This record gives sequence, C-alpha cells and structure tokens, in this order.
Amino acid sequence: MPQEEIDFAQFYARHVDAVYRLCYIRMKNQMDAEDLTQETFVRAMQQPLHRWESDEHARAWLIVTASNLCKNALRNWTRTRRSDFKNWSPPNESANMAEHQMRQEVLEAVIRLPDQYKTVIYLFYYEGYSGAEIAELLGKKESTVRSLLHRGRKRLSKLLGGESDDKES
Amino acid sequence: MTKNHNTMRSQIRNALEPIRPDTDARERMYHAILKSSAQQVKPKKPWYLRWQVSVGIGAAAMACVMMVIFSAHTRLPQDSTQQLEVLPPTVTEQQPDIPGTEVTRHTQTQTIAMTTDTAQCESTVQADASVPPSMETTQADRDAQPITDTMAHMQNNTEPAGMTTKSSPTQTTNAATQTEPHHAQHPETSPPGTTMASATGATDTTVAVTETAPVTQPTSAQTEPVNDAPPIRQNIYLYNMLTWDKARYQTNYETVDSSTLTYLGAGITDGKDVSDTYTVLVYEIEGVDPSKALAVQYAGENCYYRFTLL
Repeated sequence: MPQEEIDFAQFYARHVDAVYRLCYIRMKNQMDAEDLTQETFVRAMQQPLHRWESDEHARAWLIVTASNLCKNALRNWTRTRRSDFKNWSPPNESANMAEHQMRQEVLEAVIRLPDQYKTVIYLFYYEGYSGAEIAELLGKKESTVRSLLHRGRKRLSKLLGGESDDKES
Repeated sequence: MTKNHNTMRSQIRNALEPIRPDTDARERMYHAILKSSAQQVKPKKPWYLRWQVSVGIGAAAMACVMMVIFSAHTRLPQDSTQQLEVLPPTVTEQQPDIPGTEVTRHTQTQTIAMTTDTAQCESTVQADASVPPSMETTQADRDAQPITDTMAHMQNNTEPAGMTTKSSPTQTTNAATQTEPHHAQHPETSPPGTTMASATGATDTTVAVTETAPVTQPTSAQTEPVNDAPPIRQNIYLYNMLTWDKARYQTNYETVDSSTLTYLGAGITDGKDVSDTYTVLVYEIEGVDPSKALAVQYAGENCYYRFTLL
C-alpha cells in the first residue's frame, strides 16, 4: 500500500467520528450523514495532506467543510424532512437506565435545535472550541457566536424541561 | 454558572459520544471515498483523443461531399459543354407562317425543358425561315424513310397525295411536345411516331396527342439559345455518318447554301462515338449527283452540311 494511502487511512480513522457526528446532528439521519461524511473526506483527499499545519487544523477544515456541505444539502426540502433518530446506546449496555434515558433526551434536544444553534453548541460543548475559534471557523463575529450560544443554551434548557439560565454569559 | 456550564458540557458530551459510525459503515465509507477519489483523479484525455470522434465524423462527412462532387464532375462532358437547363414551361402557339398557303397547321407545343443550341446555328428565326425555296414537292414523290429514332418527332408534315405543300422542317428535337391537330379543312396530321417523310395522309382526324420524353428546343422566335456550346445530348458533331439509300456518307461539316437544295426526305445519321442516331433531313444539291454528295440538315438546326459518299 502506498504511503499516501496509509497516511490517508490514519487521517480518516482519526477524524471520521467527529465529521460523522456533526453530519448526523445536522442531517438527523444516518444515510445522509454517511453521504456527507464521504463527500467531506473526498474533498479532503483532493487536498494534499501536508496542506494542514497540524491535526487540529485538519480537524477544523473537516468540520467547516462538513458544516458547509450539510448546509448545502439541507437546501433540498426533501432532506430537511428526513428524521431518523437512532438509539445510539442500547439500554442493556448502560448500567443506569435513567442515565441512558437522560442521554437520549439530551441528544434529541440537541438535534431538534435550529441549525444555527446546533453547530455552535456542538463545537462549543463537544469539540471544546472557544467562542473566538468558533467565530473564526464559521466566519462569523465573535459576538454573534456568543449570542447564538446563549440563545442555544436557553432553547436547550427549555427543551430539556429545565429553567433557562439567562444570567449565564 | 460554571457548574451549569460543566454540567451541560458533560451532558452533551455523554449524549453525543455514542454517535459514531459502526465498523461496517466506516469500511463502506472508506471504500466509497477511495473509489470516488480514484474516478476524479483519473487523468484527463489529451485533446486529440477527446476530439477524435468529432473530427472523425467531420472527416467522413467531408469525404462524402468530396466523393459526391467528384462523381458529379466525372459525369460531366469534358469539353466544357453545358448542362441541361430547366426552364419554366411555356406554351408556344404555332400559327401558319404564310397565310394563304394550302397548309393549315395548328400545333401547340409545350416546352418542358430546353437544351442549349450549338454555336453555329442559332434558332432565332421562325420555323419556316429555314426552309429552302426549292422545297416544294409533292408528297407522292417522296420516299418514306424509316426513322427509328424516336427522340425527335416530326409532326404536321403529311398531306394527302397530290397536294402541294411547303414543307417546313420543324425545329423540334428531343422535345417534350404535345401536338394537337385540330379539325381543319385540310388536315395534315400524322399519327404519333410518324415522321415528316411518312406519307400517311391521315385525314379527319382524331385528336392525337404526342408526348415524348426528350427535351425540346422551342421554335418560337422569342426563345434564344442560352449558350453557344453544343448540348450534352444530340451533339451534331458526333453524328457525322449518314445512311441514305443503302449508301454511307460522311461529312466534314462543310456548309451548303440552302438556295441550291431540293428536299429528298428524312434520314438518320450516326457516328462511331455514339450508339444512337440523329434524325436529319436530306436534300439534293443542285448540279451534284445525289449518289455522291448530299446536303443534310440536322433536326433542330438551320444549317445544311455536305455529306459525301464514302
């Protein structure tokens, strides 16, 4: 196997989960998530691997590309109506039934968020990017990202049945 | 506040963590990525391979056009003769040229197409203008000559025996003519296919319409030859051998004055380069033994050529 293929296979193994996850919470179903993950990596393969300065840079590139592809795909009205939630953690694997139910509720709440909040919430809470980094990634103002985060949290709390934490910054 | 943040972070992480493709999906996606990437990486064909179909079709079309042009060119005569020229149909009424004569003719000729005339003989005169003055003969004295050439039909030249007529060689050759003899006091009709020399003496007549396929040269004075070159067909210079009275004559196209001629009948000429015959009118030259030399007028021509015995 050529070295390039080995490098790409490793690159794929490191980032496929993150890309798939982002695609899934945006597209809400597995088939579209797989299609867009494929498309994202096909685009990445057309780029030379040494194009990225670091693995974080490559990950950020993949996230932005996947996000844009999802945005394009959702312009098709048939895709906006597809919804196929999957029970990602079977109850027998989970020690605590209540914990599993809680996870599923949070997942559904995140997925039901409007697209503009979903990506920001995911990048902030799951990927651990700061507001400034998210603003750079998405090409938005940092204040806009903060505002989106704030309103996203509010909506998420409402969806989860808790009180909105308006005082949080 | 920070506690809430951390709680939410952990909740979201826990909720999203299980979202990952299974092993089969990973493999499937990976192979699909490699496959689609290989298709996109496939090198572009060079321009001459991409254009080879279009260029091939164009070359084939060009070759076809060239072949058509070449084949059309090879079918043309090589001596710069001209092509058939199709003219709109015209109707020419031929009235008796000389009022008061015993001949009554009414010929309606419909010209379908005409050929060009030869250089020397321009048929700009009316039909009777080419008749030599000494052509007054009686039909009984004439010998009918068999005419096998149906390309040219002579018409309206028969009359009952004993009648004096002024024979007028018509200028029609290769003609698509419609001859419609009318009921007249002195009908002079000939059935289709007869020639000037055949003394049929048909009287009171039925309407006979003769239509022949070949092209005609109208006898009207209004029609002028379009070109001077000989036509493709019935080129008189190809028919230089005359068969008359079981003798063979040949010509070098020396012209003869029409005033010294006496009409003998119709004959046929041929040539070594042609397989068909050309109908001609044969005249005796005054002061010359007909068995040695004759004058010949090609049907459709105004000139008279000397033919000498071979």
